[in-house]
Amino acid sequence: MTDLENRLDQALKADSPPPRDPMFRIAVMERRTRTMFKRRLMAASALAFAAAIVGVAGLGAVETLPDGAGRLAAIAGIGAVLAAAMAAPWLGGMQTLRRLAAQASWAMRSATRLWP
Amino acid sequence: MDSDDAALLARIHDGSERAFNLLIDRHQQAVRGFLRRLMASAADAEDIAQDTFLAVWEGAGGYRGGSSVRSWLCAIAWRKARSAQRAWFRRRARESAWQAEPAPVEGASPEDRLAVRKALMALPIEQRAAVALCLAEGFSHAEAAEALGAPLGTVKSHVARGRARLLEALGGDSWQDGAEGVRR
Repeated sequence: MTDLENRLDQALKADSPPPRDPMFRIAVMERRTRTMFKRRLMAASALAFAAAIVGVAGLGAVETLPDGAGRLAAIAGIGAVLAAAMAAPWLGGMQTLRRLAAQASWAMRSATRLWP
Repeated sequence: MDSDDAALLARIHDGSERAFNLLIDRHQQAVRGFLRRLMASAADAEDIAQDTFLAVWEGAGGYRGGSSVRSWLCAIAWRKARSAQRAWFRRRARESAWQAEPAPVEGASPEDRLAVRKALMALPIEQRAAVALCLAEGFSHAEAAEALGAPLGTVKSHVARGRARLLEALGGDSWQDGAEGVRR
């Protein structure tokens, strides 16, 4: 290696990042957390909006039911659906659903490829 | 190492944060080094590097083997850098002031480092990427071709021409050095 090539090699490698850099790892994790939070917030907002519509429509329908166990069960059912809709984004439900959807899509594509 | 990396990706796909941390520790140097030499702005390079690892967290299942995980990561970084290129051109004039400031140097003289940096930024982006991977990050031509999605011959030619231009910037004879580079 000539002197010129040596200088080029040194100049090219002068600003290499360190082999281990916890600060970079922390920055990636922080960014990931922020992205996940933003997505969950958006999902929660969308679900809250949908839940409000379902709630109003559901309660309207319940009003028409006669008093009794059926009416109570319908109210409890609407409550459960609303609670699940509000909690899903914060319990990792959306991520699980996304992974399941991705796996299902992959399985469908594989099956399509194998189909004669 | 490759089978280890593939196992790490499988664990990341299953949601393992520990595996994700290990993958970052193992490959951040190559990805960030590549992007630092590719992008005019160090901040953009860091941003794209973080974005690259974020994409891995979300799409670890996308790795299909066939190439090394390091090449796969650099391929993601390369695609992200290309899509950021338009914005980079808009900011180029502003950032040229930053480029002119010599940064702390280890090993190489500040003059050499600045000359190489300027010559590197003057190369077409494909040539710069090939030079950054092969001459700075130690990728083989085949690995760089996989990462950049370019034919092997094109990558070899980019590296030889880029190297000749960088040597010229250091005061070498571009024709002789370039010819030497092509022969290798």
